Amino acid sequence: MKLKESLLSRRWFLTGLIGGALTALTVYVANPVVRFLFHKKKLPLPKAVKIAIADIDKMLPNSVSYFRYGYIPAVLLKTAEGDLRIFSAKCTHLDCNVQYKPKSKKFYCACHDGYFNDLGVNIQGPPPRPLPEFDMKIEGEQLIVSFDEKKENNHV
Amino acid sequence: MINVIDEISQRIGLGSILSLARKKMVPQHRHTIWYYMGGMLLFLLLIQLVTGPLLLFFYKPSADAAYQSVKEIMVNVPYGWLIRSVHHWSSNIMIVVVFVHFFSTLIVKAYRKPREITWLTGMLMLLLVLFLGYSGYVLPFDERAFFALNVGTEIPGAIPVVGEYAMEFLRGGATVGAHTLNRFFAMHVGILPLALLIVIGVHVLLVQLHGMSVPVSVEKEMEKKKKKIPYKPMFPHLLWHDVVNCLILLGVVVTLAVLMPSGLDPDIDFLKPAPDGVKPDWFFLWVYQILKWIPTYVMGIEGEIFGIVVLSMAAGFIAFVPFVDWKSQKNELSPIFTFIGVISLIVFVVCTVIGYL
Amino acid sequence: MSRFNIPGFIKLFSVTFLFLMVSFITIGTLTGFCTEQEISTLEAVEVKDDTDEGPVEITLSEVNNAREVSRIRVYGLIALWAIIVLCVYLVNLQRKDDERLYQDGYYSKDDE
Repeated sequence: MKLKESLLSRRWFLTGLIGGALTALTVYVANPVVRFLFHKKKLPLPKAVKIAIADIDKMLPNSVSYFRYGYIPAVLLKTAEGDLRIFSAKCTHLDCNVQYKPKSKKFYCACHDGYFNDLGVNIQGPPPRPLPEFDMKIEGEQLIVSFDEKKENNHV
Repeated sequence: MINVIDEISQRIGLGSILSLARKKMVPQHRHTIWYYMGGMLLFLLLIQLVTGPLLLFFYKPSADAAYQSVKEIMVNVPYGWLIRSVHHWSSNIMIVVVFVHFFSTLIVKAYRKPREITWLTGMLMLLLVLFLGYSGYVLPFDERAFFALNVGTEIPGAIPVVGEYAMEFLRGGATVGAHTLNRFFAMHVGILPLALLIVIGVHVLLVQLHGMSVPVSVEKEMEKKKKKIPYKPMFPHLLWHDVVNCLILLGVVVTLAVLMPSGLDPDIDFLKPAPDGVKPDWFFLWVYQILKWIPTYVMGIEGEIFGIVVLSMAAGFIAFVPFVDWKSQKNELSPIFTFIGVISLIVFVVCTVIGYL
Repeated sequence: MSRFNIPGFIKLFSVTFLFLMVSFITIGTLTGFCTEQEISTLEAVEVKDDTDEGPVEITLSEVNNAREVSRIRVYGLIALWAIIVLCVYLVNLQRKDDERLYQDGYYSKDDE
C-alpha cells in the first residue's frame, strides 16, 4: 500500500542518515582510542620469597613484621605461642595497610575502624572478607613464602 | 517533539549567539578557498588535543625513562603506534596549513585595517605552533632529539646581549641534560598549549567581529563591473564545507599515520659524534639552509650571529607589515608588498627543498 | 520578631562556623597525619627461576616491527575511507538541498 504522503520528510531522512554516518565514523575512530586507554596490564607476582629464619627468631612473641611480596605488602605474625602466620597487610575493605594490636591480639585498620582476629578473619567493622593468607614452608635456614591466588579469599 | 537545542539554549542563553551565527555571511570570490584554512587548523588542533593527553597517560618525562616509555607505547600499548603516529603527522600537517594560512593572508593582505591585531595574534600563534612542533619531537629523548636540543638551544645563544640568558632558560642550565627534558616537557604539555588556546580565543573572536576580509583586487574588480560581492551564509552552507574539509583531513592524517608510522632513533650516546646528514625537522630547514649559506665571518661579525639578526629583522618586518604597508591601509592595491609576500614564499619553499636534499 | 536582629545572628553563626572549621582542619592536619609509626620489617628475597626473564628491554627492531604496515591495517584504512566518502557524499547532498532552500528564500524566514 503506497502512502500519499511520506511519514518522514526528505530533509529529516537525510539528516538521520548523516547522523548515522557520523556516528559510525565516531565509533570507528573511538575504538582504537578506547582500546589504547583501557589495556589491562596484569602486574606479575613473584613465585615465592625467602626470609631468613634468624630474622624471624629476633622477633618478640605476639608481634608482627612487614615485608614486600611483589606489589603486596605482607605482614608476618609471630603469636605468643611462637606460631607463624602470614597475611596480606591490605585491608579487604579499601586497601589501607593494617596494624597489629598485641594487647587485644587483633589486626586493626585505622581508615574505617575495621578489625580482624589473629587468624585474619574479619570480625568487626566494614571489611567484607578475611585477610588473604600466604603459604609457607621451612627450607633449611630460610622460610619460603608463596601466594596462591586461586585460594578462596586470596584476591588482591 | 523536544527540540534539544531550544531547551539547552533557554538554559545557557544560546539565543543571542545563535541569532548572530545565523547572520554570519561569507563572501564568495576566487580567493574564498583561503578562508577554510583557519577551520582546518582548529580541527587539527582538536586532533592534537585528543591524541596528546592519550600519549601523556603513558609517557614518562624523566631522562632515564622517556625513551623506554616511548618504546612501550609503540610496542606494548594497543594502537599506541597509531596514536603516536597520528599525533606526529597531524602536527606536521598543522604546520603546513599554518604556513599556507600565513602566506595566503600575507599575499592577499587580509592584515590591513582593521585586522592588524588579528594579524599580530596570528604571528604569535605561528611561533607557538613552531615551538610546539620542536618541543614535541625532542620528548622521546633519542639521538635525534639530543642533537636537536643541542643545536636548537645553541642558536638563541647567538643573539647579542640576551642570547646567553635565553639559552640557559631553554636548557634549564648551561648544558643539555635531564633538566632540559623537564623544561621542554613542561612547555610542550602545559605552557604552550595554554598560551595557544588563549591566543586562538582572541584571534577567533576578532575574526568573528570583523568578518571575512575581501582582497582589494576583488573589491576593485567588482566595483568596475558595478556588481556586488555575492555572500553565502556560514550556517549551514559553509559549515558543511568545513565538515567535508575536516573529514578529508582526518582521512589524510590517518592514512599518513598508517602508511608511514613514526619511528624512533637509537638511544642517546653522549660520546657519539653527530651522524652524517643530521638535519633539523623540515619546518626549520629554511633557517638551517640560510644559515649554512652565510660565510663564517661577515663584516667582522660571526656569521651565525649575523644570520640570526638578519632573520630576526626580516621576521620583525613581516610581523609588523600591516603598519608598514601604507597602501593597504588605505584599501588600495599594494603590488610591492604582494611581491615581498610572493618572494618570501618562494624563498621559504626553495630553502626548505634545498635543505632537504 | 523584629526585636531579634536576624541578619546579625546569621553573621555571628557564620563567622563562628568558619572559625571552628578552619581551626579543626588546621589542627587536625597538624596533628592527625603526623603520627610516626615505627614498624619492624623483614628482608624478603624474591625466588627467581631460570625461566624468569625479569624486566625485558624493548629493542629497536621490535619498535620497527610494530611500525610495519600489515594487511589488516590497510583494510582498516580502506574501511575508514569508505565511511569518510559516505559521510562526504551525504553531507554534499544536504548542502545542495540547503543551497536550494536558501535560493528559495527559506532561510531568511528564520531570522527572528
